[in-house]
Amino acid sequence: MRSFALALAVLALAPAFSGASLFPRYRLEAGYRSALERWAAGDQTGAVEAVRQLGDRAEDEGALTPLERARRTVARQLGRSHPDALLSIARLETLVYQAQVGARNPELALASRLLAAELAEQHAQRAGAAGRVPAAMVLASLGAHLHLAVQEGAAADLYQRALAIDPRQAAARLGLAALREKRGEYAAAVGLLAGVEPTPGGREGSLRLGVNLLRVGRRQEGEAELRALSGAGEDWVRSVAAQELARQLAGRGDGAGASELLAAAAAALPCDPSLPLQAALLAERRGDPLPLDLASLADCAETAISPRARYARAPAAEVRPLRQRLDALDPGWREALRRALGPAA
Amino acid sequence: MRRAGRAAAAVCLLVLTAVAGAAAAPPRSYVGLTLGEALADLQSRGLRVIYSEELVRPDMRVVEEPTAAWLHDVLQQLLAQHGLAARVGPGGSLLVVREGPPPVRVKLVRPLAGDVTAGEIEILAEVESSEPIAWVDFFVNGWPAARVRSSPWRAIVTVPDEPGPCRFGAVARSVSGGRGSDTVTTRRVVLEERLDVSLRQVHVAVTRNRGGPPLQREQFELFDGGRPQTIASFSRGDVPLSALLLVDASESMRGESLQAAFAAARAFLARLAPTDEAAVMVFADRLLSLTPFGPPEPGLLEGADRTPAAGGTALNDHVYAALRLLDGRPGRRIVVLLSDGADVLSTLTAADLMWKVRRSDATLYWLRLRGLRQDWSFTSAWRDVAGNQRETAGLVAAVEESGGRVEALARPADLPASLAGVLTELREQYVLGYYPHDLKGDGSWRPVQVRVAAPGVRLRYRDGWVDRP
Repeated sequence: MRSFALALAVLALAPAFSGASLFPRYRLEAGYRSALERWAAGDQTGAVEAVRQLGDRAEDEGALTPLERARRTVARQLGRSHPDALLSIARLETLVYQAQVGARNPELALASRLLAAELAEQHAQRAGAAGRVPAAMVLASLGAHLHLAVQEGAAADLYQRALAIDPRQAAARLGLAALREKRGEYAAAVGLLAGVEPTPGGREGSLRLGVNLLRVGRRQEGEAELRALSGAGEDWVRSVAAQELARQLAGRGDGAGASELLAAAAAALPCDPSLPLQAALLAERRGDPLPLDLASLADCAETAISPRARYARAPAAEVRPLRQRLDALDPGWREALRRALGPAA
Repeated sequence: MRRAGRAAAAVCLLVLTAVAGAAAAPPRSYVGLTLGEALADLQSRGLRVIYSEELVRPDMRVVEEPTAAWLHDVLQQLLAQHGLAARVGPGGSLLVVREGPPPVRVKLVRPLAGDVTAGEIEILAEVESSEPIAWVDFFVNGWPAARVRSSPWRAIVTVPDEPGPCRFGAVARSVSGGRGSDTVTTRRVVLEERLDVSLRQVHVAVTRNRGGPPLQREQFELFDGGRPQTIASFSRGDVPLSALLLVDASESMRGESLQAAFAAARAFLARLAPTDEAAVMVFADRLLSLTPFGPPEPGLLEGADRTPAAGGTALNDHVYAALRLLDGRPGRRIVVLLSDGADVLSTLTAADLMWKVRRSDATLYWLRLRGLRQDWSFTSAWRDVAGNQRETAGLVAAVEESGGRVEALARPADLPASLAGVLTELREQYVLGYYPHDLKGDGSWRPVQVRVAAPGVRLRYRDGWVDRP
């Protein structure tokens, strides 16, 4: 009897030392598994809401740490047999992160974001060479999302982690290059964009490479990149390339060349707000003033975008293709998660 | 089973035929019919179109032949000519609804393309719309020239004395925001005779520690290139102004700041004299709206003051545009910049702007809505912290070079008083005229210095000019 009583006392007192009762941990794990089952079955909204509510309840009960432990435990268990399940869970946690940001729960949002990144890295470790590329894609996609939300430090961290797994991850290279450029680390930006074929980000990546090559004094290479972009296309990339190349040409006395370049670009981009102003000033400085059609610029106001503003934003060139590739891989990962969860899923 | 199968196939064929018959549009001509007649024809062919006589009026006619192959698309094309569209309604019917403002048609009838134009001419436009027209703006070579608020849509404009063809434009706006435009290009006669005006004017703002009587001509000394000059003309204030209000509507101005800026602009316009003229330019990272120069009525802001705040800030670019707009305007030229920010996105640099300021006679006033904060420590893809600080300092230097000043305001509510202060200063400035000697036309910088024999007096003026060819 004494032994029995002693055993009961130990069980009752154990939570006081462990910091949580045994029963809530199992409840947390079960709750998380249930959310994953929904996710694996294709109920995206239900799964995200289930995880969010789990987080809300845990926060109310002061059980956030046990919840994080429970999620990691479940993910680890599932990932042992089916590593791709980790990426599926990472995708869910990415959506949960976004939902928690929208619900203004920064602590819970951070927890989901950190977990998503960890799971992607675990996948890269477990799945070997074949697992590196998709894991880096998940990290880069999360980084791009943060970049767009101006969470630049966190975005840079994720890009770097993506590149640590897959050095050729294009969205991570392009995004990190833009962040380095914004910090004035132009040589680092060049290093991320140069020497990789194809240039990450296509035209946008080439533009950023050209602009930064000029900044680090590699004038000929920079001008070559910009020249290829400034003569073709009807987009903001052409506008910025023409502006920057014209500035170089005017700076070394080739005003005629600069004027010609700007005129051609302005003709191709009639609503561009910057080219006409630069062309007008250049012509005025050459003693041959051009009319400046401000009325047309004002007419274009509703549809015009500032190419320089576009350049200053988070790069988008690789993001959509990345997300399309992730969407295409998603069903396979969910299937892996389904199998890992077992027959009940 | 076989009979059931054949019957099902027959039913399908009938349905397909009905659908095809209802959907496919054998060609016929609708031009000249009223819109109602055209819709009735489509109804007779199987489209269930429902519309009210309020939207589909008897005076609406089909002016362009629809080109679509399917009846539904024909319907949309017919409706689009009158700013209407079809939406799916109950039971699959098609409801006719308003799709944006009705179109506005504009045709310039004077001058005509290819005419020879010179000096002052009449510009005349014909405007058609199913709604009243709010105004018609006329432009010459892209510059706003006149705004007319009632028919007949005509104005007297001046053909600029520049080489090359001259482009006249007319833009009409209806009361609900519909828009139409037309342009015409004419040939120009350039008058070769030019008057050689070498009188220069220096506008001097005077501030004193204590009050005192107005200063007299003999109290001033004027130096050009270090050499004393004879003051040939002397006056104080009351020179007609050509004022351009440059309003920053970038994202950071959203809300109280932008509302205060427009309210202050209205008050500023109300305080200008009938002999003054004004224009308003609203910008962010691109030009958002521009009014023509005209008498300083509060109505000048109409439309422009509904511009929503959005986008980044391109100060240098738009100050340059403002200075270009003022080139050749009569009177004392000023730019009043209402902005809370620093330049982030301009393609032109502060050094470019300084080049233009030195060759323009306009004076810049910058009313900065972010208080006395001097630390513009931010970075962007275009410039690092040091670069942005240099650019801000450069713009401040350009403003001061123009003979104007920068005033830092702690609150948007301080704007009206600040603008009133600018106007008072302009009206009380001294204007010293002199004939500079030894003109070379070589583009060199001619420094100017003004001194006053009076204690406790501080002067502010443009301290030089470019001896242009």
